[in-house]
Amino acid sequence: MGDTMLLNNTKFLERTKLKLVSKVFPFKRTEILLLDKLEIGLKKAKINQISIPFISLPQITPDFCPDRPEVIKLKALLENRGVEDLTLWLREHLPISLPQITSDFCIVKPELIELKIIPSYIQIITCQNTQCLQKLRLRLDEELIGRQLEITCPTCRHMFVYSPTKDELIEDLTTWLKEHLSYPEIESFSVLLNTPRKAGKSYQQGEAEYKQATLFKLDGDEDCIHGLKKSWCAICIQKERQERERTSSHVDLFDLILPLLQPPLGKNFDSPIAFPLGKELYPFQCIGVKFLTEHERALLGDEMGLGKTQQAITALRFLFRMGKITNGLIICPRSILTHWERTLWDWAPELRVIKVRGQKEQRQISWNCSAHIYLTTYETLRQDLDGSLKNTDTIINSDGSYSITCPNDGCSERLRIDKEIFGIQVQCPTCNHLFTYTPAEDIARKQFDFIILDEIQKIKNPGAAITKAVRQINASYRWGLSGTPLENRLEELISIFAYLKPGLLHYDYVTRPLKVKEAIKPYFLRRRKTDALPELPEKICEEVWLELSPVQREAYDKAFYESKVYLEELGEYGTIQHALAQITKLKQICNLDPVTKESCKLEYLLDKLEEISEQDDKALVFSQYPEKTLKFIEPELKQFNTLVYHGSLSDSQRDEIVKKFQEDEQSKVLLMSVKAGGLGLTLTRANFVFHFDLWWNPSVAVQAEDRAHRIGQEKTVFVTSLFTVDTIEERIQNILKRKRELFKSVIDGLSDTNLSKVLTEEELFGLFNLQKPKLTAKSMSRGGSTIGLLSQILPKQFERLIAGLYEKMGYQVKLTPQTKDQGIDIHAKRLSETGTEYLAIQCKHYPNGVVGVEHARSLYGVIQGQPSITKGVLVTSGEFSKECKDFANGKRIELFNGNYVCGLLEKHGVSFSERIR
Amino acid sequence: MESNSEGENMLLGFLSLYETSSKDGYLGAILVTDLQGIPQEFRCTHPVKPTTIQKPLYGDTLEPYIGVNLCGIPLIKSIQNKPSIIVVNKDFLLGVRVSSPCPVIFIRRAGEAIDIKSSDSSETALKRERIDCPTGKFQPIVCASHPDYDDDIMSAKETLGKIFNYLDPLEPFERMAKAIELLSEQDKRFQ
Repeated sequence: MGDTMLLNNTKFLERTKLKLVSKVFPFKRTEILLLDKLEIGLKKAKINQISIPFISLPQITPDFCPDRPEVIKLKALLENRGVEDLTLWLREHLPISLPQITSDFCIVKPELIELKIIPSYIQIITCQNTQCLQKLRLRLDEELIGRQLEITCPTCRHMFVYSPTKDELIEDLTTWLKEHLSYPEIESFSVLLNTPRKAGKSYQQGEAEYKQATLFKLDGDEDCIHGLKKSWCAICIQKERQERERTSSHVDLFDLILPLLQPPLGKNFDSPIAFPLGKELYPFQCIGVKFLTEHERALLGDEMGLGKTQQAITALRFLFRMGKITNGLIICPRSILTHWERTLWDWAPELRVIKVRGQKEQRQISWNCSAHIYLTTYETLRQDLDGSLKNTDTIINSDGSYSITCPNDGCSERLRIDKEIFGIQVQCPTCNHLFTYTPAEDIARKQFDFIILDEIQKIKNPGAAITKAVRQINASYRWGLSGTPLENRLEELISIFAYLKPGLLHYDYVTRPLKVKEAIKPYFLRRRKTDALPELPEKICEEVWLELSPVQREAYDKAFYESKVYLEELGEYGTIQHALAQITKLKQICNLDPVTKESCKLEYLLDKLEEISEQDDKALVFSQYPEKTLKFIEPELKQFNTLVYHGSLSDSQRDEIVKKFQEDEQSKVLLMSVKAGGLGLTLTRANFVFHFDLWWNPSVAVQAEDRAHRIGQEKTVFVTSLFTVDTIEERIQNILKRKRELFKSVIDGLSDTNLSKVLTEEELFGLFNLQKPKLTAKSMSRGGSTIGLLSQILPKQFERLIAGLYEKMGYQVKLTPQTKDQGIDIHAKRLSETGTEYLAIQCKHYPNGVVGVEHARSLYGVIQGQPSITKGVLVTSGEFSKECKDFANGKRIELFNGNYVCGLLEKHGVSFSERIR
Repeated sequence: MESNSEGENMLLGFLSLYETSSKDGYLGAILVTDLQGIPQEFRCTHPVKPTTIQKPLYGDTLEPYIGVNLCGIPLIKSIQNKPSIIVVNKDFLLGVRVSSPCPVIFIRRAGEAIDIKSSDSSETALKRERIDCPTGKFQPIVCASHPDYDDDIMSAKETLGKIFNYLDPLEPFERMAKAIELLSEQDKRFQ
């Protein structure tokens, strides 16, 4: 307003001049740039210099122009930055009157443009005066980009127009300042080293345990999903057995390094800590170990009984501790797989062994587990290698994961699976197809540092599938073990060495035995017993643990279950005798399957007897069960011209057999019952003794062994006792081992009547996972009254009573006439799952007396003549003599004494008054 | 924690520091054995890998710091089967003694030349004892204890002298080295 008034007051002439001048020399709009306070986001940084851009003042005409000093003052004021309203200031301080602003003339007001602080731009330009070329820094707001600015160089006062473009702008002043100013960049980093994670394990464990057969605790024997108690359910038992094996397959990294952490064995094996307690090598065996460790390819051909297995295992220990091997394979016949496992456990407890067997899925898991030694059979190896070769679809990635193809033919998507997970359900993300994945190629791609082939003559046939399978295994150390005299079988030797040392022998060497022997000499070590005799003791005893065949296992499990049921049903009336009877039944199944006669022990025995026969040695085979065992294995051993010696032979027959065995070189094997063997016989021609089964009285076994181990014996006697794992035999042996000290204090000739000194009732019933039945006061008092009644009745009444009892027990009974009954008083018949059970029952009413062995013999004679009779039962109201009990033991005769009869009468609620009429 | 010092149940500990196979880090390890050298427990650390900046910053204190503070003391605390005596094969590892409940002894083969110029330590300033193998089966050893625990050496001498009949006290360190090597081959975490 004020300005307009000023212009209006101007004279006409002057106004006209202004008009003309403005047309000729129009005022330019000026851009005034003011610097606001500069805020820089650098902490604790100093800014050395900031340029203030030059501000160009408006050009004023000669007649409208403040004096120079005022201009200077104005400029100074502008630079002062304290002036906000320039127009007002000009009006107040300048001695000029501003022309009045009219509609066609108005004073140019300098515009104040406030620059925004953020974002701000900086522009570096050069003065366009070629004589100057001063670098100028320009701070701009975004609105000014693209507009024409009039710039006056502060150095040369050259004025030029500049239009800033975005490309040339420096966006962030801070960055520019950082680059151009000497501002130290502070870098922070950690100098602290972090405490690392720890790993490792404790190897200290209690006394090494070899897990026993199925052991379900009595407390907490819960119901399973099949509606039974877990300890009774065959499915749950089998599952628990498999789970136990699967768990024992787990080996971690620190188990694998354990051999390296062991103390060295010493070059001469003279370190006192070289071997587990009680396990030392003979000098000739140390030579064998040295031979093996010094030869990557070797055939150890020591005669049977000289400890090839132990030598091989010790050699392995040596190599493991030296770090020369980290894992390997042991292949052996099926019959001795468990025996190898046990021997490895005894001789090399620090080595982790995985037994590869069972279902395909379980075997695949086993192959994929980490271990020092993989133990398997020739057949399993062949099967798994065949399976591996067929599966080429799986690829193992560098990180250890597996790439497989979705088995859905319509999808075939490639999937990636973690190496560590096996047998899992996999769902394809593409087609949602669900399938189970188990890697099958691992054995073919697995690397082994060593392979040991026990009974290497199994690969004597180059065309056999087993031989071809074995030849696919590429290992640095290849050892063969065989007791067979291979040096006389050139073709077999050539085939064997085709794997052990390829290229050493050729098939045309078959006609050149000397050349073959010369060639294999550095790689073949064979000692006979005569060579090692000076170092060997007179008798060497060994336990061999075998695994029941599938058929035997099924029969055993069923019989075990039935035994448990039987003993449970007896309840408080169950006695040691009942438990012993069941144990006998189970032990007989461990020897032979009752139906198919299949036997893992026989399979093992056959292998060993072949070797023994070839060595021109002879063997004795003992069993407690001539009827149930020896009778059935005899036909299988015909090839050895087997002789049988048992109690039912006449004296002359016995002498004949002994003489023939001692003198006839064709008769290699003599089968004997343990009891018959204890009769002062001399059988020193045999130096191998096998106990097909063992009782718990060691003196009985020793007596048997002493038929061979006695004066006149020139060779070391090798005694082998055969046991089956995961059976009542194993349980009994474990208890007996714990009681070894007790055995030493017991007088020789311990019999069953003194059995309670060795195994308590609790232990006997514990073999069946049962508690010892406790007689209650009530049952005792009942028993007392019943026994009293029993003693008052007549013999015929006693017979009727027993017949009534068996009726109550579910039998169909028939009392025999008083004469011509062959001593049998009652015939009883009952149908069961396994068939019809026929009993021949003889009653002896001797209330205060003792039934002697003659009655048992008599009954036995009768049932022997009648194969249809399942068993004979001798029932008395009194007791049985020791001889009678001994005789009945192991035969088809059951003894019921007075107490037991009373118990049964009470249990089945048999009324005296009713039955004795 | 109390150490086990009952006669036949005595345990020995062997503590050492190993360089990784790629020479870029360090691993601590402790092996506990019975008097016959049979391993009872083995623990080791994952590698400590100092950066290129940390190495010069720590200088000569790097190995002692890693060996004692980062590996040694935590390892001793972690073992379940407490030894009666801990044997080390590097003199700077004697530093674990301040946290160890049992004596810690440094051993080396007698007759080995000590590089006095390159190390400040330690060993030349330590009280040393020589132990000979009674049977002559092994070469004699020299043992030393932490300067603040002079008594350690006397109790250790008795134990070491006893086992020296059949066990070379330096041999377990070789086993540990092989075990560490195998660990690093089998598991990337130890490389």
